[in-house]
Amino acid sequence: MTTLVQSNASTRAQTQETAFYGADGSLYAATATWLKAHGAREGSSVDFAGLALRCMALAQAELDTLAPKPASAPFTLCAESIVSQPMLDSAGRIIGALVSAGYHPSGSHETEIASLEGRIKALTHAYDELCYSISHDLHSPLRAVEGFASMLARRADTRLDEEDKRLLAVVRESGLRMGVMLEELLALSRLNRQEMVPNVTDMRPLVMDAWLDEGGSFTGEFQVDALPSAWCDRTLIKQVWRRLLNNAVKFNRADTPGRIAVRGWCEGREACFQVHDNGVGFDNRYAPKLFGLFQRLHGPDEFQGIGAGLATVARIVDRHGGRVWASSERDKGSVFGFSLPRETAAQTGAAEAFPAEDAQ
Amino acid sequence: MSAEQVILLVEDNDADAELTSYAFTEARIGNPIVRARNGIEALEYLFATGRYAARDPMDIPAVVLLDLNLPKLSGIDVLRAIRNDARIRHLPVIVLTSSNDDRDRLAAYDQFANSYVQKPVDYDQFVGASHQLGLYWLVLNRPAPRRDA
Repeated sequence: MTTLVQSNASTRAQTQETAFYGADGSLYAATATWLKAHGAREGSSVDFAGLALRCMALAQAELDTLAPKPASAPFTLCAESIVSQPMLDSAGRIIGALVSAGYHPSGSHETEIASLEGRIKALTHAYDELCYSISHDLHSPLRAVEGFASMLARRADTRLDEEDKRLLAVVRESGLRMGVMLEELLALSRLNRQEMVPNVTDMRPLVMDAWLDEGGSFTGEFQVDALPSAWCDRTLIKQVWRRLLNNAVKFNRADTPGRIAVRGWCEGREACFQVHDNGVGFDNRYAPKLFGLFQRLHGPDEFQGIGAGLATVARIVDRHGGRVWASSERDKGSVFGFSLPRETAAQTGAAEAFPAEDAQ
Repeated sequence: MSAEQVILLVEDNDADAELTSYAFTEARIGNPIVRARNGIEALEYLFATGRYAARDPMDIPAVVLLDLNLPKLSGIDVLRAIRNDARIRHLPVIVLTSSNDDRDRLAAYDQFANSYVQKPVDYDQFVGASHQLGLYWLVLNRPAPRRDA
């Protein structure tokens, strides 16, 4: 797509001091020396995105001295397109950065948006293929690990002492756990492909439906307030409710009667929903981590699960153009919330005639 | 169903093939398993050509256990070749694969797979599934009679 041009305008015989540019003016990679020469300080908390921005400005000047020049000028830096990732050595020191950023021709936002959309589509497709391949191709060796450990356990049963058996059991359990992780990974990639069929959806029946699936073992109090309707895919959002309610039930405290409440309200063009529980809660500092794939704040011995539920919630809500959030106080309970559009863009004009409160 | 009738296992991965054999033995399925390492080998066996030229083509397997991701000819290609041949088109074919992907499932049923089973990672579950497969396809199910009968 792009020819990489190595900049040596600023290297002055220091081989490490190098940056790579695409011929369209994009900066793709820079070494630490190069970054430092352009204002970066040592330390692990380098703001690479900000740094990349400054580098871009400097690079622009350098680029003028390089051939080939961008195909058409003038170009403006496309700040949204900057993606950066520090490169660390084995000791964790930053030795460089991989930076990708693009310039777009000024005044042609439509073209740029179309081209970015194309790139996103291609990347999503590549990501899906990767997930499929990972979960499919890794299944086979994993099954062999689990299966052969299992066969060994059976054949050697009488010859093994308790410690031998425990070790084999760890192999098996880890294998099975990885199997579940692969399944979740595949399910997530399937979420991306699944066609969305959004409709104006009455949320209460959906919550009650999800509760039938998830609330069976819960003996505490469950309450659902009046909820606004939202513009969403019923099947997908039911999954969101199932995952959130499953969590609320799972992280219940053994020493207190459980209480789960579902609340909702309207905020501008969004319908917001929250699940409140009085369970074990979590440290608020880790709230942003919770929605990451396979992120867990509790050990598998404390609570079952592999940390895919909230990642799935985040993915589904994101596909609807909504937001997710979480907050908690340890041992007091948690709140998990998400927002959805209240109506389609086409309906926006009509909906504004009604105050937000009416929908409640 | 006679116990001599073979099960044709089309599987390129050695460990997977061994695991399936073990699981079938543990599930007390006595039919001999013939293994084909790829799609070409599977068709050679079924049509009694190539390395299986000496085999009696009328002696058809009780069931084919077919992996999808195969080198050379894919599982779906093998399935298509089976369904396109009048002599063996009624052969029960069970797709036995790691994949639970919608596209794979659709492709298999589009080519008239009799069944689609995802191999579980849990060996105990796999033994259980093998037992059920054997019970259904080798004992309960009545296959199509031979055309010349």
